[in-house]
Amino acid sequence: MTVATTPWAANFARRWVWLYTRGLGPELRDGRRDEVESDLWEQASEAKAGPGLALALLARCLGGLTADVSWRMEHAQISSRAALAALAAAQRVASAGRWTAQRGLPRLTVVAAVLTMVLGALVLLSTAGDQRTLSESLTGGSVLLVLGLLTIGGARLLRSWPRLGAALILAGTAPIALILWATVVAPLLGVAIAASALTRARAIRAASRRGADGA
Amino acid sequence: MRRKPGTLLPLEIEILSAAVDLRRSGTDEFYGYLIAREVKGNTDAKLLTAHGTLYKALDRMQKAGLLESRWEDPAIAAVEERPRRRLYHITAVGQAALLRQAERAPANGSLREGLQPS
Repeated sequence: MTVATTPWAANFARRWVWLYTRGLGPELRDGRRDEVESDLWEQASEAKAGPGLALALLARCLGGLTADVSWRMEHAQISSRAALAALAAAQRVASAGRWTAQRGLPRLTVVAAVLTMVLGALVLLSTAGDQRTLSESLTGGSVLLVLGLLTIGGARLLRSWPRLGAALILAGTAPIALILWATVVAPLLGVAIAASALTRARAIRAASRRGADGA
Repeated sequence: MRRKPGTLLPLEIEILSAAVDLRRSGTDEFYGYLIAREVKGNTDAKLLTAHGTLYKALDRMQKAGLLESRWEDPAIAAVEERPRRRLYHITAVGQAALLRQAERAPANGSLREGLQPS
């Protein structure tokens, strides 16, 4: 029942809905998934397939991300200490991200890292009340949190240890780009962040070498 | 978003107004994409309302009693070879809320006209 020319943006939207509805009760989860699926189908069947449609679908998905997260939090079953701890950790990372951004590092890196952490927290939250997917969700959520931490850590270390900082940023962003390669946006974002980190690391090293020569 | 009791958010007004317009043209029930298209048509928006924003608003409006919904008969969707739709309709509470909103903004004559019993 999918439109023959379903663009990648529709798949991106489906994956996002699948992610943020995980762990909800069947009625609520399937209701939102079916409703968005119907919406994607209606829009795709009405418009001409092509980049215009893909961008329109992507814009509608990305434009509602915060509302989706807020809706999910309203329906979250925060019943475990792990879920609360994950939320608190995400908040701490967000404030660490703000600290890092204030010191002039590329905001893109910080935003991507915080987003990864929030997604990790959401996946961990989804374990509440669902024993069947507990281990899968714990693994997925923890991996996302670690990747976000690596990126944040790399961003903070970039000035003092440029090589190590850039390596950590690469280690944090490359897996996400590979996992979400089909979305195109994630790999593009990953390449942009990695290029930014490498360029900055090279510039910092060159500046410190000039300083050493001058001395 | 905090708001005064009894007041409607701009998107809620747009959804209710679009629902009234649709009903005037003979469509008593609407689904998500249809209302997004109607809202875009009635405003200066360049893009359709984002999925998250739209469905969160519809969910909130249902809880407030402004809208009611039901799932379409799966047989109808199967015949038309498309996913099933969630069908919404505006309630008496929703109409009253929109009428109160129209009274607060007298310039919107067409809105009030659409709310008169036919």
